[in-house]
Amino acid sequence: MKHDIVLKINNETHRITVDSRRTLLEVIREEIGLTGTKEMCNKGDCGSCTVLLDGRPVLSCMMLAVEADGKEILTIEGLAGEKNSLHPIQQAFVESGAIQCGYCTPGFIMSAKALLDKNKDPNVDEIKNAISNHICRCTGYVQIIEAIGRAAKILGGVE
Amino acid sequence: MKRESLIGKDIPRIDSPEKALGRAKFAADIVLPGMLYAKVVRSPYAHARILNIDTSKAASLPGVKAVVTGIEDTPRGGLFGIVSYTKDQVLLPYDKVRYYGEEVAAVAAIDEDTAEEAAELIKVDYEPLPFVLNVEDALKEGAPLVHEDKPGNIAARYLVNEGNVEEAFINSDYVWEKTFTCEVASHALPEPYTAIASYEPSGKMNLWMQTQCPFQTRQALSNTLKLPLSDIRIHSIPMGGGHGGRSDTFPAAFIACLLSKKTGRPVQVKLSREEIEDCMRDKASKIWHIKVGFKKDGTITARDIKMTLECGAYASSSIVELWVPLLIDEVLWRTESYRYFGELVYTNKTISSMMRTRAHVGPMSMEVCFEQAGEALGIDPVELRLKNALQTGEVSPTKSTITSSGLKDSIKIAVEKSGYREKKGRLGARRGIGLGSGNMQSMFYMGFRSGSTAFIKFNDDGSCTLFTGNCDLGQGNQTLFTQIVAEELGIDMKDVKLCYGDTELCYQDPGTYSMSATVVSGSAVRKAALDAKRRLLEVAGDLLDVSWEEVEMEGKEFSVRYRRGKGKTVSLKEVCRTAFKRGKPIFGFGDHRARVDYSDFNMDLNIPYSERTYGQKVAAYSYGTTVVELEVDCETGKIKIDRIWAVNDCGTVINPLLVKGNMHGQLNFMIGHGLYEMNRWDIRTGRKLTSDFRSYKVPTANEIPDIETYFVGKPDPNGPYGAKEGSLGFGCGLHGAIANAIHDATGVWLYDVPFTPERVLKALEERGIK
Ligand code: FES
Ligand code: FES
Repeated sequence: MKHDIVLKINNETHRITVDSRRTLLEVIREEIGLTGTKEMCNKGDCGSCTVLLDGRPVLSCMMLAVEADGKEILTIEGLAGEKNSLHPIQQAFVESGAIQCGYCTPGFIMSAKALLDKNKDPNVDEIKNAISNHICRCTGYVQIIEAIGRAAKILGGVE
Repeated sequence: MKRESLIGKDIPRIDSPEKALGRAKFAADIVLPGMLYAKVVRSPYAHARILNIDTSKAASLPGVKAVVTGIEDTPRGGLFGIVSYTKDQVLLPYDKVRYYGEEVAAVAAIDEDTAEEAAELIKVDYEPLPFVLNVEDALKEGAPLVHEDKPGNIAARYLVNEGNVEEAFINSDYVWEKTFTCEVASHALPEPYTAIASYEPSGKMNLWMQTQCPFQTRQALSNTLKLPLSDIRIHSIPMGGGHGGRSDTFPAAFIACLLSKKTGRPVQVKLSREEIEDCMRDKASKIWHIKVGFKKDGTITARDIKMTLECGAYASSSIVELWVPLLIDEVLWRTESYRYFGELVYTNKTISSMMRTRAHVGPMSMEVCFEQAGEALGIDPVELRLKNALQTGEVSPTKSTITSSGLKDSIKIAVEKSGYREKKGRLGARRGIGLGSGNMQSMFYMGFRSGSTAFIKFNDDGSCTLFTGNCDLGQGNQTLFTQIVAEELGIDMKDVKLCYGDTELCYQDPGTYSMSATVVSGSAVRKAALDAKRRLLEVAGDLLDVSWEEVEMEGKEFSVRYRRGKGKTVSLKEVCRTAFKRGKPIFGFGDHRARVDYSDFNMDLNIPYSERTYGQKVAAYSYGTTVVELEVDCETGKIKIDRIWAVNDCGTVINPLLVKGNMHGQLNFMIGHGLYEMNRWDIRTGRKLTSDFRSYKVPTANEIPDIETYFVGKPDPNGPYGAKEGSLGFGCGLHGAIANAIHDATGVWLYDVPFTPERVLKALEERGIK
């Protein structure tokens, strides 16, 4: 079945017709053309497809696009400033060496954003908790945890 | 002003910003005009003869553009395999299937849904055959043969026999003997495998896909597709991880090419998580039997190793795993007599390949040996290690010279930093500490593909572009090469552009294979930069009216050396433009072949059984030691690693930020493979039961201990700036460290990896603990 829905993605409104079986991940990547959000497992086990839905992190592979009708969605592409200038979280990931192959990165960054939006100064356990549903096969997580701590400092004006 | 050296600086990866922004285009992000989507039909049997394939219904479904089967479409005679005697795989088989999930047919259609529907309409008649799922069964008399032409299910054998081990054991004061095992583990690669093939009317086959070694992949595709080598082009794209699991050439790429050739349109083959886990690569299971002789004073007299390695349905790059454990073991601990016998065995399971954690039961066995032998001989186990550790300048049993060994230093540093001596046996209440060393090669013998060639061209704005055939799966090779060029030329890294891993534009390179990127490709890049610099100095010399030797290049400016600060200068841009005007643009060319001496290297790759294999096999060896502190929960059997001290002997550390990150990654892999990760199969059907992240547990941020990293810091004479392999070797002893720490905590010895809660509990029960 086809549905007409409205998705507000990264502050742009998209009126689209989607098949009711399509996941939010598929629609973001294939219909809207924002390929920054990544599929690793397509069944809710890895966190790499995380986007923010009305400010909350959700697994876009586990959600139908029609369920997001009328909602505000933030993807990795919506984080950068003008002319692709890095958002402080992105900057912190780059500087901390938290990105190796980078395939898992957008998902981690979106969960970090959700965490730092509500907790300005998280401790290591809170950071680990916020990313514990994510899989990274390259970094061993150490520099990702450091990056999120560093991002908190940049956002707080300490660095 | 002279710029500070870039070597040893923490420099973030140059490709990170585009990845942080979500702008890097991975294979599955690419959509080509007119692209078709493919679906592969897979065997529901672990072993069966293919009798007939009926594709008529699928072919007539609207939207379907092509169907391929092995019987109809696979060019005959082209087999995949790493060395000539292990070429055993038809990439789309036509006679039989040898594991559950093997490819039998594929369709290309206008969208994924249509392709999926069509795939279900393909009817395959099979004659199921008996199958074998472990090496014990595979080696039994009369066992079903995975390959009819491989009697006994033996894919290959390898024997090294130096001195006289039997006699040495008789003359030893103490002989220790044990069997260790490790299970089949997964790479669990982050990015799903995707290959896009686009066949052009000119005959060119363009590919966008993941590969750790574009040039080997091109060769293998040429052999199997029967297309001229130069008609295949592999484009460079970002890749989501490799860890050894992208070293081979996979049926999905082969199928994409067949379908594209048939339709004349670009075709994408994208695998699901289950398909990746079932049908890409695993790490071989291993049975490692080892016997070690000692003199009273602790000197090792002999080592005798018998390894049985399971490759799954095809030999693939497991053949490399047959001799890499030797390369590791023989250069760690000195011995007078040495025997190493390895056997590669077929089973009807997912194909195994190389993997970054590699030969860990090998190093582990010796770590356990030192603890047990130390106690029997009344010698401190740390001293026992130091006494037998191979040092710089020594020669291995097969006559490889160790150009630099920081093994002893790494042990001493790890012992000191961790407070090992004070803690051992004294941590109390189910807590323990353990130590383990490891080793890894920088560049082992790869025949014709052992060398790399790099090229630099200068542009008319004074910037330059580096061409290297090496690629980057996240290790940081792009950053490393850019850093080297900028270092040699004294220019900014942002003025060095990079073209890498494209088989059409770059010269041949081993790829990120055999840990060769730094030592081989990096050396080639450095030579190319020096070559370009010489040409720049010559043109600048002409403009300054002096000979090139008198010219100094600083930043983007050239001046006469002895007139520093005074007199005439010319800019880099002027030099480049002058060179263009003369019709002789500036370029640099650098080639590096690994320093491997084959004069008496008798390993004939055509003979699967070789007895004497003398010669320098490896360009450089990296060593290192880890110490772990952990806690064993005797109720649940769970092990919690609290802290790791990791000491890396990787020569000069070119970029500590990146090397440390790679070290964390290696420890993470080792922890996963050491404590949780193992694959399981349904013994009735031969189907893998662990094809997703729910059934196959990899470590998350919660399982990561505190990690302290240290470097020995002694340069190797062969690597660029004294660097050698930096990410793997130091951590290869981690499983030994964990086993020893578990013993320290509980008094129980474990010999089988991974150390799962069930195994820990069973061992505790047997000792009456719990
Ligand atoms: S792709 Fe959505 S959780 Fe893995
Ligand atoms: S950086 Fe490769 S999976 Fe995280």
